[in-house]
Amino acid sequence: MEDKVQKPIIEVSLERELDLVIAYKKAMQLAEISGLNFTEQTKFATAVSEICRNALVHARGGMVGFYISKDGGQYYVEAVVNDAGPGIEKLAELLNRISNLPEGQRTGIYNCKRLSDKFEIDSTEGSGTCVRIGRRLPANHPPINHIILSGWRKHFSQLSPASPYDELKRQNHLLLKTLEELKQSKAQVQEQLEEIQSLNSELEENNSKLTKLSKDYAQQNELLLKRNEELDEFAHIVSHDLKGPIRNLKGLVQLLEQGRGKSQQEIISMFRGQFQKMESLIENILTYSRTGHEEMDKKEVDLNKMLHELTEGLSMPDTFRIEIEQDFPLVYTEEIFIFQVFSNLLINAIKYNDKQEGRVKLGFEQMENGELFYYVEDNGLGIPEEKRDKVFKMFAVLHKVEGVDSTGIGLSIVKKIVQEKGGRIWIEDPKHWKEGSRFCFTWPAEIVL
Amino acid sequence: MDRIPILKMGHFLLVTIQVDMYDRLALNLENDLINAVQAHESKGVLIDISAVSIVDSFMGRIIGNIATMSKIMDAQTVVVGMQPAVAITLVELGLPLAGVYTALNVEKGMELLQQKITEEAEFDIGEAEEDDDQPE
Repeated sequence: MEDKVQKPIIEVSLERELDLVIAYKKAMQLAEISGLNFTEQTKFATAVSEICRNALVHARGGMVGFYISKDGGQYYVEAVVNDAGPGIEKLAELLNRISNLPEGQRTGIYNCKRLSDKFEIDSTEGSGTCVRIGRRLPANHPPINHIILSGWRKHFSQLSPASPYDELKRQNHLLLKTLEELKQSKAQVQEQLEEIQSLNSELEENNSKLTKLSKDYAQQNELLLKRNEELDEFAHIVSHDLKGPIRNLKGLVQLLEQGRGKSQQEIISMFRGQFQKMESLIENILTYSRTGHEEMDKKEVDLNKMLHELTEGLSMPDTFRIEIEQDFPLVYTEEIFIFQVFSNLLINAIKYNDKQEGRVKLGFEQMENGELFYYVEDNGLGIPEEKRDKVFKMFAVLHKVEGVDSTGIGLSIVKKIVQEKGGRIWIEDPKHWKEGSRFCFTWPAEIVL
Repeated sequence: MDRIPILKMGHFLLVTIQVDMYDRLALNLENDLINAVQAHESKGVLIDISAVSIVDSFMGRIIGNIATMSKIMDAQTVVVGMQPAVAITLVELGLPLAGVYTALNVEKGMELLQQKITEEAEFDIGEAEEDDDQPE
């Protein structure tokens, strides 16, 4: 009981006049329950009322708490009034002055002192005042322990309200408390939400990174598979096609061994022919495998000028005409590659033309999505629709033409270049003639205005 | 704003405080009573505080004020029904309510008021008679 930091049995906040009524009523109730007689109860309650009024008038409010304390073997019922007002300057002087005033003019503090068995006042300027008033309980009072005190606390918390105002105040207090709790839990929830959001965004980021990575892997895998396939095909074709001239050479050697037929001169020239064929095959294979891998500097290319130079340098029959339909744009790209594409397509168009008057038209059109595509259209033999994909494969020769030496690599080189540069290539029916083919390709490049 | 009812009974005003007194209520009562004394030309005010369990220095001062003001307005004030504990507390507080007549209950209070008024009237008549006796 000696510890002064025990929880108050009742607490009343002093905010307005009506709180004084509650304060002295509670004082009365506590005094009654702790065994003081009616007169003592009244004295104690009056003293409480005096000091609480002081707190309200001079400090604009405060707090009164009621306790039971033990001092020198005696129990006291105590009221502790705290306020956060301006405090009392020169407390001792004030108390002295009050005690010298004639009876009837003394203030609450002094009167209160006379009504209490115990009176302590503590005040520092600027930090409020604390007044402790105590009334001694009868000497024969049975001991009061913590259990009894907590019982009293419970009793007071369940007591019906002293007035409608008391009830209002209690409910208001409860509401405020609940509101505060709500605010706190809301803040907590907000904090958790923010944390979840940040975690979520982190997760999303990681996820998108992973997705991108796996996409990249899939792409690379696909590319690798394609390359593998190509390599297989390449190996197969190379071995197959290179075998041709070797077989021929073998036959020639056999002829020589048997000493049959042909003159030496003839045999040598046949040997030379086969060697040449092998050489050109190997050269083309090398060109194909290098295609598109080299990094070239991009520059402004005047397609018009390039195409004119290209067509002038080509060897073709006198009756053959190449028409450039429009003014081609100026593009920013690697000249050597686009030159190679046009050149191979034109050579093919000249090579595989069976008409008396061979014709080739060069031009470009815009697709629905705004992309440009270039075309090389001829009035040659034409390619049936079902074989159009096949002609781009290596060593695929659709038409055997008399006097034309073809390795079947030209179009595969074209396709490879276009694809390496991010474009597409396809074959359409001709638009200007009944027979022939129209090679179209897109070439992603900035157009210089 | 709450008010404590003031009843007029002949020459007297009757006030019974049945509710918890707080400062504003007490000040209003003080004001209302003085106005009623003037309006009804009352000769006496009877305040019943039998239901009041606490009279602190502020309340004591209010009762004292009412008595003093009434007197100035030519009316007598009697406080009745004070609980013994309140009386003891008032004395210990140093507030003996000087100048306020008290009675044990309403009946005795009424008697006291009547008596006071009669005394005063007699005193007035006596004074007047004395005036008459003076030689011309």
